[in-house]
Amino acid sequence: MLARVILKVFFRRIEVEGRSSVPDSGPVLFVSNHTNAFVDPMLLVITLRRRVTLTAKNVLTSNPLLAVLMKGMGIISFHRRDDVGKGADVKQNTGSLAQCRAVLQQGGALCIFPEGVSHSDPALRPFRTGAARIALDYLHLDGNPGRLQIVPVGLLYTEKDQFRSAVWLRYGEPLDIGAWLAEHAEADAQSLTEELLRRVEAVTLNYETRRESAILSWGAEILATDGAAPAPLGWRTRPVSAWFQLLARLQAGYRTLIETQPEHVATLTKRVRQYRSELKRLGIAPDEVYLPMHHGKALFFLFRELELLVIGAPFAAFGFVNHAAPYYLIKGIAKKLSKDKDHWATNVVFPSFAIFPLFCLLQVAAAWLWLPAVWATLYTVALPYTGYIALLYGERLGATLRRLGAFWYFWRNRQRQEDLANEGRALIAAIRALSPTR
Amino acid sequence: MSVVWRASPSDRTVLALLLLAAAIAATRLPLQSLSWTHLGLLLGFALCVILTVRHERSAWVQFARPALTVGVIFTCYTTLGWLGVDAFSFRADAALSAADTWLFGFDPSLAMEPYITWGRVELFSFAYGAFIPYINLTIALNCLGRPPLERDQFLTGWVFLYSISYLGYIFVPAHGPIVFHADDYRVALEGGFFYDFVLRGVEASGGLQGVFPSLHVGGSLYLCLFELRHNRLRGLIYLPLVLAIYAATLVLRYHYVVDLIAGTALALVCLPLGRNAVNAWVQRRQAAGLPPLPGGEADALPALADVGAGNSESVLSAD
Repeated sequence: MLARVILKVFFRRIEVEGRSSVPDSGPVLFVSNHTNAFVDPMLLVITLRRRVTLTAKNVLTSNPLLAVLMKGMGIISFHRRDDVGKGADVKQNTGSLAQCRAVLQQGGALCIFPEGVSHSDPALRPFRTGAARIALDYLHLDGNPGRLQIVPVGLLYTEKDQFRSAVWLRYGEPLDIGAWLAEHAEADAQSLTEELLRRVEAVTLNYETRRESAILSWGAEILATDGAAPAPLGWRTRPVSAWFQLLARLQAGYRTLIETQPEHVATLTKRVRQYRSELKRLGIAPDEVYLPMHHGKALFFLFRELELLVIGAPFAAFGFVNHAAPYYLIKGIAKKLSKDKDHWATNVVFPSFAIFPLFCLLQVAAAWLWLPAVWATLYTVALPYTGYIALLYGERLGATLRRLGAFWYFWRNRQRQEDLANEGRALIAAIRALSPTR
Repeated sequence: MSVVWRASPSDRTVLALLLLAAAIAATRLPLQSLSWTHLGLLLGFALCVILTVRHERSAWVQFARPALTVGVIFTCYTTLGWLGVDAFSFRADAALSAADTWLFGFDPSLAMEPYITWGRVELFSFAYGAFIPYINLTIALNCLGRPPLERDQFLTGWVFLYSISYLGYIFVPAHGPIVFHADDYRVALEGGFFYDFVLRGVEASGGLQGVFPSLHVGGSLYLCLFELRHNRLRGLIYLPLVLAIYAATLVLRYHYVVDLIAGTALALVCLPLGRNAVNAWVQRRQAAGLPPLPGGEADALPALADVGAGNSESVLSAD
């Protein structure tokens, strides 16, 4: 419950695909990519309708808080060869593997990250054979033919090191391991691992280089605008899935065309980079280039945003004042602990489990100690309510100021807006023209 | 597709309501101004609907339709309570009060008496009075500032809510606890500026009739629920006001608790009802080869296509 609340606050949007294809009962093994440390398994846990046993590296238990959490959640720990010398003993993995098989034998679900480590690489790392070995041993050693299903999982984050970013969680088609083995009689742990890698690749985005990832992302940002005015603030935003699907199509085309028309792609890449740099310098989002310079619309925008921000200000201020201490404390902890991108979210989410409830408890206790019952009740209810308002208010205020800034800049530089809009539309047309089908 | 089916579900609902009101006025009341009011509204609205259907591809239709509908619904607010009271001799106050007593084991309106103070009357009068600017502003913002499909869903659900509530006003005529329990109260309601404002407002908007269900509660909750779904920050900000309106209707003795329960239920039901009615209407229009919505809007219907996985077309293909 707490994990659900914290993750739903941390992520602006969590979209799930293919949950209905996940078996509700019976032994299931989830194999997932691993790019966001502790957040990856937590997302699986909160989005599934069944209990999932997680696995983790044993060195995490050196942190006493994590050790308690892992024990409480029934997490099975594995000793990695890389961690020998840091307290890992690979011999103990026999017991861990047996524990995993026991979970499956009881009809449970198990989650494994076959890459073995959380990372920020642009593509999947090679899979270790542990997941395949558990599956094969479950069938061969324990004599449970045909019941085990392996579900590939893809976790795609828009900006994993950003608070209020979005995530798309994809459950792929389950692999009936019994049926697969019937077709691949000679299969061993290595060939099953390769099959799992292919299936996880199919539900994730994998780039050859960081440069490829960046350029496709910038291209997709420009394409996503469609050369049209941005939606008013507060309207439904584009689904996260649509963003990643756009990226995937762009990548498929990019890889083909870089072979056949490398000069053209290189020229276009340069233009996209220049355009993006210019927008970044001006602090303008790609869609704001097409803001209409219309008096009536501008006045309506001002009225609507002012009404919301003025009426909401007292609630947001109350929420901010009451949550500022835990918020900045967690931010400070995350900043201090995070040495890489893939642990930042974990370092925010994990301390939040303790710090937010603790602060809330202290504040509520103080209210009940010093205030009359009616006011204390009101304060208790207002604490989470205004905290959520403060969060949304901050986002809306930021978006409003940003849009006002873009509007004001273009109001004073009409020609600049026209040039940028023309270049944006020309880039969209050029990218689309590269497509062999159009 | 006939003119009737080309008219939106909200237009057809308003027409049906006005037809019913005119029929009741014609059969149950002697000829008086009230009879003519509803007949006039019916004819005028029908004419406008025909006009908007005939010119549905014109841009002005997207502004005229909501303005017309909201105008007629608000006009009905000041007249339909009177119609029920004038057309039917029985009063439902005793039954509504008995329902409250059955629910709680005591009469909540009378039980609240010890807690009535000048300050509380003023505070809740402010909340009760804030209902008017709140609904007008919210309706205007949602009619002018939402995507076309969402705007029509919003408006249709809102019309359903008001129309069903008006049926309650007509067929369950009552005056509210303030009249029914007038002799039983020992503490008089006394307030200042805001209470005076509410008293004048109630008088101006049709007086003390139209009780079951509570439109103060149903109307404000409907708007709040819609915004919580489509514009969460605004919905959350106005949530305390909506809750205060619940309390205000009881403190100021205008409603029984069952009115509030009925208003809440209606708001909860009308939200999906409006959405589904508009979606079905849009699909029928599209099947008949018409644009999804009148006014030349929403040809792509982004809000419908937006559900589930992305709907963007192929941009760059590797084929």
